[in-house]
Amino acid sequence: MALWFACGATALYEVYQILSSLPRGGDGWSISYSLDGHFFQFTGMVSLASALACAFFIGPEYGDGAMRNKLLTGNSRWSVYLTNLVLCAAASLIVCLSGILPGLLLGLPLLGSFAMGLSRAALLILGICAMGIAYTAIFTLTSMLLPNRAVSLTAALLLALASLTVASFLSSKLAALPFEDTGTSVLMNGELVEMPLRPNPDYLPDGPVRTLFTFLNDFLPGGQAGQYITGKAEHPLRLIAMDGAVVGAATAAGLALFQRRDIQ
Amino acid sequence: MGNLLSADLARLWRCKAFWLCCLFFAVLSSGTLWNAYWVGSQTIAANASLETYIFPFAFLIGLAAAVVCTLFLGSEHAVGFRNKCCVGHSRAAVYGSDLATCSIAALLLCAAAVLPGGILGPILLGEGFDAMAVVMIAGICLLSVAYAAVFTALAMLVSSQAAAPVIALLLSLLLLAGGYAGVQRLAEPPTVPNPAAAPPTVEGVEPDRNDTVPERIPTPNYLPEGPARSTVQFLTDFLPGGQSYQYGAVSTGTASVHLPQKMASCAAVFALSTAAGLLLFRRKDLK
Repeated sequence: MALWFACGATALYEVYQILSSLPRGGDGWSISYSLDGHFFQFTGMVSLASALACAFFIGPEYGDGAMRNKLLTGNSRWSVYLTNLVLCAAASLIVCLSGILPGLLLGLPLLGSFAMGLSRAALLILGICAMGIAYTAIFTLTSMLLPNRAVSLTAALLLALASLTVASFLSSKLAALPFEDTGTSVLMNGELVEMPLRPNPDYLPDGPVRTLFTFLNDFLPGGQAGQYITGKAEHPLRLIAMDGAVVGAATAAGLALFQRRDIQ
Repeated sequence: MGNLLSADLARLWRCKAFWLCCLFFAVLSSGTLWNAYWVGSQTIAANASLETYIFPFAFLIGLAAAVVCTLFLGSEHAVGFRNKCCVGHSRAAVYGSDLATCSIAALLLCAAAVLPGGILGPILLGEGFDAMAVVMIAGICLLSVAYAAVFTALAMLVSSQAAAPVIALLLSLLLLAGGYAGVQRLAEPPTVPNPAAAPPTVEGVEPDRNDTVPERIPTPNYLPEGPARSTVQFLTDFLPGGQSYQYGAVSTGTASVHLPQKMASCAAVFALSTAAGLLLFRRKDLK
């Protein structure tokens, strides 16, 4: 039931984004609208929906004793862990589809095709699915290690929110311009004089800090979500590779810790 | 009820979620002040008041109250409530004790966020809280108690340990999103520059006035004075989410407006949610 609730919420959010982007008549000064800026908005819901689906799926396994019974019947701990991971990844893909399908069915007739081209749009959609699986790997880790259902669910939701908040911070820091304003000229004594530009204290110059922030913005699933939502994912293949690394690292850590966990 | 309250406070003392939230708020406030101290005069915000660095915790107080109340009370549904009623405590006493404990927890969360400001502010930034800031802190404390009342009612009525935190977290996010939408809508200007108008001119040079394109056009989302604006203003000040956003974004100046009404709204939210929660809890089947 949690999965269907997550899918419904994602679908509704995507429909709302598409419908609210339609041009309003009457003012005469409307700008042109395209599918590009609004189709990928559902990406923000993928993290929350994946957290719900993972925690609600794995949580009862502890409470009902299913986890212990699986181990008692001879299944190895790594097979139990990986089975849950695969099932949760499938749930995450279903959540992604619940945002993609309404977006395409509603957006293509109302807003036209993608201005970026179908191949690039397909690559971004693939990247969002990979991001969803990366989130799933992290939430599977927390859910498999926290036996208390309420605690694992709360931790997963807070982790999803924190990832989006951190991503927003990173992207605002990276997007800061070197100067606070554009150049202005003032007429003084019959001559045009250019006013000096004020440096922006929030600007990150090229260096180790900017490199670190850029890496984190690409590596963390929250940072990727921010890039897909704003349409600034310039290297989706790199992001997909990063997702592979996140899945590998989270699964390795989860397996190692789950091997030592006392299943009561 | 005294025995109930002391037992609940002893449980709160051992609640990991509560201490983690307190630690988070303390680190958030201290970290923001240290960052402001190290950045120093290089930023425009160097001249910002102390509350600009401390009050953003108000954005998160609803989330923290949701987490603490639901996790603290969730375990009581298994045997706690039933045992307390079996030994002779009335349902009203049980509810009142849990409400008081959650309210104390919410106030302690506020203290964890504000105390670093009161201690480190004079040392690092050379200023403390002024009188208006103290009044706004009182308003945030009332807001946190209002949140505690809402989430206490939710946690006492929803038996599922897993569903209660989810509903509470989503509700707090919804309230905050609604507050943000309300504040943004009220802040819309009547007109905006027309993107199709002539480009900006150089200062001191007369512009070419031959074109007929208007320089400014009406803002589509602007709310003129009237019933609609009054309704949005009331909802933004009444609902906890709107107050959270206004206190958190204290630099916008809306936090100090209508303070008595905001405090009265918190009292009303506390009373309404407690009345509804108590009424429904009395009829609830405690298995």
